[in-house]
Amino acid sequence: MIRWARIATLLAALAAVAVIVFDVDPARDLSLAGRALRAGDLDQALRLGSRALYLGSLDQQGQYQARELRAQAALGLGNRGFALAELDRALALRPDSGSGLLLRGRIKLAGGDAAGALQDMDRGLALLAPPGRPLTAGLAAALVQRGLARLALGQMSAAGQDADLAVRLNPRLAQARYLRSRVLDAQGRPAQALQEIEAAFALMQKSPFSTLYLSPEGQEMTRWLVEMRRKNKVDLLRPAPRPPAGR
Amino acid sequence: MARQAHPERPQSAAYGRVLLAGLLWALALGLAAGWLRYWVGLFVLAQGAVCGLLLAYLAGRAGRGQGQGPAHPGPGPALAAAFVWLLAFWLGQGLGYGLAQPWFDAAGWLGRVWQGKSSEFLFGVAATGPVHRAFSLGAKGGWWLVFNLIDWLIMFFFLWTMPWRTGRGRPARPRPGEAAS
Repeated sequence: MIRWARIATLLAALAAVAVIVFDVDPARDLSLAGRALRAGDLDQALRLGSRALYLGSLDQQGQYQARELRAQAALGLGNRGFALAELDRALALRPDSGSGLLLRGRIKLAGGDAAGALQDMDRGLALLAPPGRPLTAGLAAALVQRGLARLALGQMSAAGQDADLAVRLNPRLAQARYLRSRVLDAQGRPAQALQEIEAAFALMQKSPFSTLYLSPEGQEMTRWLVEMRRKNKVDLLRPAPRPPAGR
Repeated sequence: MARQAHPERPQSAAYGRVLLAGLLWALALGLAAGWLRYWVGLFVLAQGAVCGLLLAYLAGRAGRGQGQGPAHPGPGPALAAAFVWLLAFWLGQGLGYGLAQPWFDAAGWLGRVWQGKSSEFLFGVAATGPVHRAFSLGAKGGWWLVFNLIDWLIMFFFLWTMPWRTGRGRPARPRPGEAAS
């Protein structure tokens, strides 16, 4: 009797697992992966993206989405090599994807390949905002990244143009102020560079739920603020100025 | 209960066989369970029940060999053996989970789940209405531990109690020329 109960339990569990494994809905998995990525659950996004990719049958667009999601999750988890390889595979499926090119440019920049990053970002921006079409606020972050790549290559004036354009498109973007600060410092204007990075921090304070402080980007901004205050001989512990109300 | 040791088959060898077989099966089953756990999710209770039953059966079978198997070693040693097998199962599961990931990061994942930065999909729980809404993307942190404890407890129970012969069983058949005791 016990023996049959054991066999029945095993078979029932195997059947349940088989049903769930073979009942993979790649579209649902992709949608859940996107949701997990937005919620900051990178492992779950990576897992669901992988499920959609390997256990389901996706069309080319779906495969591209799954690979881009996996790359974003891997980048967040700190595996730059995997993210880059995954984006290469994604862009082989859709070479004209502006968002994919921008993301690959960001990864290359983080890996120290500024020239490669600039190439991808130029192409990505050209695809997302072709000549004659106005730039949108959503592209401000991409402009900041391109500006940073230009800065790394010593193209100060072009980096400054990207920073100004990014600030104009999205005045609340703290990273745009940070880029402007970096450019001003490189041009030998440390006092104005300090003002800009202080303004960036004031913007960060404006959104108390922002997790920018915790990201590598936010940590780099903090490091830069300390460096600028030291350079300008300003109290390191002075609180950042409050942003004007209503902005 | 009087322990009956076969005169020509030392109990210690049989115990060793049970322990070793349990250890190897625990690793193998853990590997498979970890791999499935990544791709499918954790089926709370079912994983513990299936793996516990299977592992206890396989370990006990290795001890039985041709005969009845070793007598129950007592609650202490049985508890220790169950704990060792559970540890081996965890190790195997970690390996299986890591091998299923795009890159091996089982320990990192465990840390993130415990810190509440990531979650694990529990499809047994998520299949029911109100609980589904609470754990629609899985459990993390303390809840993850609670569900896993439930699973481990049931598995541990099977591993503790099942592999060993309990009760008197059939008396050993006397050999030709021997008087039945």
